Amino acid sequence: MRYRVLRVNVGADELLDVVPGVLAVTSGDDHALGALSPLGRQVLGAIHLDTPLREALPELADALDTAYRSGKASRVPHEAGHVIRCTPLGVGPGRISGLLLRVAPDDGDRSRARTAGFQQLTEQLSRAATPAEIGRLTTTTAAALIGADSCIAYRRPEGSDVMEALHHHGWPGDTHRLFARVPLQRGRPMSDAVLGRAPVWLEDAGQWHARYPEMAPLGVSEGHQATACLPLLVEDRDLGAVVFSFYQPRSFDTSEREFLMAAAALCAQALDRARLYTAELEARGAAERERDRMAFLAQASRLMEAPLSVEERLRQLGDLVVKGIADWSAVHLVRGTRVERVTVAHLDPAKIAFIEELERRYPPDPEAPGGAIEVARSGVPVVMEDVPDELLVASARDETHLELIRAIGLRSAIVVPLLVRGRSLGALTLVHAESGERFTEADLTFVGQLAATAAVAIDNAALYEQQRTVARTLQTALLPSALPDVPGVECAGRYRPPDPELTDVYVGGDLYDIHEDPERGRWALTVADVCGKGPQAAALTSLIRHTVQAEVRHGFGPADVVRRVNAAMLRQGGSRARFATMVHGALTVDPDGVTITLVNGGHPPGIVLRHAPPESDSGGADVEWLDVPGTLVGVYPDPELVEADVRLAPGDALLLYTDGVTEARGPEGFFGPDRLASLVASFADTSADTVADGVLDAIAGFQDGKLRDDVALLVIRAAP
Amino acid sequence: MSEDAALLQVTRTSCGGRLELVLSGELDNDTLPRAQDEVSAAEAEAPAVLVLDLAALEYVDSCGVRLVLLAQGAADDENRRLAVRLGHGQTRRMFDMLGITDRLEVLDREEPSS
Repeated sequence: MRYRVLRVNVGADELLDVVPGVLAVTSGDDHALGALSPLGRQVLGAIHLDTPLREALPELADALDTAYRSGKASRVPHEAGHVIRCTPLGVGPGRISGLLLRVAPDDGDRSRARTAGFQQLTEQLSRAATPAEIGRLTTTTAAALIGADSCIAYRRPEGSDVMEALHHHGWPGDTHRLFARVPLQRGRPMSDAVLGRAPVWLEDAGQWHARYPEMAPLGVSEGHQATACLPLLVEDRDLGAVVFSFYQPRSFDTSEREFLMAAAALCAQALDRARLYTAELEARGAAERERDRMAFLAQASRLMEAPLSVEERLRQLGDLVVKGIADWSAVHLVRGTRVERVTVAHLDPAKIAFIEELERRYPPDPEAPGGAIEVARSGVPVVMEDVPDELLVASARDETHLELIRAIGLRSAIVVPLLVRGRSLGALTLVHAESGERFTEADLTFVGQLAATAAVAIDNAALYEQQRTVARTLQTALLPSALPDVPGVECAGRYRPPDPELTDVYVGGDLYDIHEDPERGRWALTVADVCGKGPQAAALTSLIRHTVQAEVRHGFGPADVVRRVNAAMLRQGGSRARFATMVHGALTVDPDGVTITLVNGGHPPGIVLRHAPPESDSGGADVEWLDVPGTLVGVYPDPELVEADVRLAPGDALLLYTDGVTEARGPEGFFGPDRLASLVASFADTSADTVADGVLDAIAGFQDGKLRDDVALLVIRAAP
Repeated sequence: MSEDAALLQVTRTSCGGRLELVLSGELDNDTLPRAQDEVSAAEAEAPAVLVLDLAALEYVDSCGVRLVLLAQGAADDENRRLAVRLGHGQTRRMFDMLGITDRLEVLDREEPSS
């Protein structure tokens, strides 16, 4: 227990001048009157000096004795709300020399009022959810309760050495602005309170000057005398501070200090709760944002897989972005040495028109550094939480341009490269403008994922396009660019790949060819179908075509040519998985028609469409199947192959085809040989081209226009 | 994949040294990998006779021939027997057209006796 004893080094009369509300000073155990103030004369009466107050004022005797003996202040009720306080004077217990009597507000009433105020403050603080609201209550309700004239509440952001004002009250004009952000620095009252984790009490201007000579002019500049700086602490957490200022000097005695500290503790606890609440809200917000973003990414991924052109996908991605996560979006792509903007999106078409007009008037320099073009080239993302005006100024060509760029209202931007396999294909730009929102470094991951999705889609599309180009080139190499002119014969060849929607990138294994064998005055014709597809099938197709051409030149007859093809395939592959079927023939023309010596290596049978002379009474076309047996090629070393002659009279036609014709499947089942026979019959006495086109159209139509397998056709017709 | 599985069904029966795979449904480029997996699994057991029954297929194209030719190659390499059932419909007609029916051990070569 500490004794509250005034140590007095001044005379009793001087004491009367310095202590507010003082009545009298006594000395000795009979409480002889040592000094009497004018107020004392009013309150106690005109008592002569040295008169023992025990006798003069018996109603005070107990209180005087108690204070003198115990060394602790005592009190006697006085007028409403006030007491006469008897405070011991001296240098310690047992060494009390006298008493100081003064009128003071009744602590009992004050503590009752404070208790009620405390409850009110507690209730209000318990309802406050945000630091700002707690700051407001601290500077108003708590300050009023304490009787402070001005107050500022601060929070200390975690890990920061700068205190941020939450709320202020009672500061005249905009003086509070001086205290809006206060760096912590030893030797200043609030800093000492925060860093020392203990209150700093300054009871009057004198203490200000004595303890903080540098700060005093500021501390008392608004006429304040007393100041209490209290740290806001909860356990080991520094949450902030509260500074109460008073226009009157104030003695912060123990009960006063306890009261202020208790009020500060309440505020600190409320702040701590708000911190947890805010953290929880933020965590929940982050979780929701994360969920929304995952959904957004899923949507973007689906879009990137949609069967659309790259430009259309990127355009739709831009639209998706401005519906959800930004006001503006743009995509730039690296094209050769240039970087071009391929899309720009905003919900308001007028704004897009504005941008387009702007870029028409001031065409962007694709070589200019900065922004999307730079990011597309460097592959390094850029986050601009705030788009600085200097950037706009730097990129503007002239005043009008600057005005127009400013009119867009760019606030915040994020630009991420479209990276795939270590290469930057372009850049995705997202901009916040009128929404007033901001991008931060934390958004990089999400926007980066979005950009990666787009980049992979662009890359796949480019690869796909490349493969298609390769496939088309390869396919072209497998087929004759044009069929030769065979005198007296109409020739028509057709090839159609499967529908791109039904297959991947395609190089088929179907082949047709006619070429001249001038030494023997013949023409070689071939239709072949390599099992399977893709590059390996294409390689075999090429092998067949070139082997046939070479062996025909060497003078071999059709069966030997096919045998040599068979041998070449066995040498080449040796795998039973790859085989081919082929029909090959040597065609000779004579004045009365055409003779073809055919060999069939496991290929679907050809059809001969006989010319139906008008005078014939059969009344219809005559269709014959050419069933020439033979073994497929590329599997067995000893294929059975036989040669059969087919004679075409003028107007007769021979149709050779691959199994994409007869095995075409549609809603009505297989196309099949019967349907083919009657179809061909319907083309009697038409040109070779008409037959070829008619069959191809029928096959496509049978499959609703979408070929499942590739189809090759060759029509040979003896000129009518 | 599950669609392919629905399009092609493979049931296997085993009796002594003879393992028989009965394929039904559709055998084409899409279902070939699954059929090949089944055949590979059967071959791993090294049965004295492996029978591929294609008679019940509703649709088969050149992929069916590939399946048989690959199995024949594997059987030849390992001195096992491969036999097939082709039925008397489209499957048989395709094998006939390709000129390979006579080069395979076809269990149901003859017309079914009425």
